[in-house]
Amino acid sequence: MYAVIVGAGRIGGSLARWLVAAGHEVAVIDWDTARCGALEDQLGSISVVGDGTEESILGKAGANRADVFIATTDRDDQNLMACQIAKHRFGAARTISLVNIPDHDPLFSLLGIDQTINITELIVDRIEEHLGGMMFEELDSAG
Amino acid sequence: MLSSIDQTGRGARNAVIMGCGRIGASVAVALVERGYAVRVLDVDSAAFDLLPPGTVEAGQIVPVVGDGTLESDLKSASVQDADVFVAVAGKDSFNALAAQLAKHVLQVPAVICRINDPARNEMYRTLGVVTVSATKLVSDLVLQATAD
Repeated sequence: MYAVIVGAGRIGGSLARWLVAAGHEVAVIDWDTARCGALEDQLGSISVVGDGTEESILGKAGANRADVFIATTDRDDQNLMACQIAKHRFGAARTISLVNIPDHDPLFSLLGIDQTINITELIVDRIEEHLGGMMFEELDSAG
Repeated sequence: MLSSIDQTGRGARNAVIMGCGRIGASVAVALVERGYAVRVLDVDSAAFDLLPPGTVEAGQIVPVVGDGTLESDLKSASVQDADVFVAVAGKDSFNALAAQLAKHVLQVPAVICRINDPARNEMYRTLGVVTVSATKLVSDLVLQATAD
């Protein structure tokens, strides 16, 4: 599988390490040369330095042959635009986007992003899961 | 582009403009001259200095501090009740997100989006977003001027 990832931050970087370890071919796009360099120290030359919403950069990363295109930046406007370009200009088979602001989730789905990862909701849900028992206990003692 | 927005309805029609730079401020004034009630949204309240003070004092242009890429801020500028939404902030990705929110989520009848990069511009046009590009306008004018 060929995966193109936008964003070499904590999420994009971890994802790249995991995919490479699983034997997949990966390209990571990030405008930050230091972040790309750190990733290349571990994984070899897999990074493209540049703006992931720029068609020429996506072309350099081989978005046209991506089986999966994953946008992982902390900016929803950039994630949306990167996925839309990958899908509509390069025909990327599958687009996945991180959604930082929960309100944006329905829009991304409506616009044809194949899968959204609503990061805020995920974390809140997980915290609620952990607190679930405690919250009920307090409700009981209050009642 | 603005001349194509017909003012057929009775009473003031509503326009919301995202981005109060030179373009946003000019569009705001042009729409006021066509009888629109205009709200201008910008993250930076200092940007509103570009609006003619008279139009703000007269309530013809209402400045609203907010981020047009957030549905909640668009709603606080009453974008859901607007007849026209114009996204003319400095960054293509901001404009694209705001315009698509206005068009698809808040169902604004007429949405115009500034996308400067020619490749992105072409893509958004094929996706049904009405786009304007300063880059394209300038290059078209240069081509025209050098054609003879």
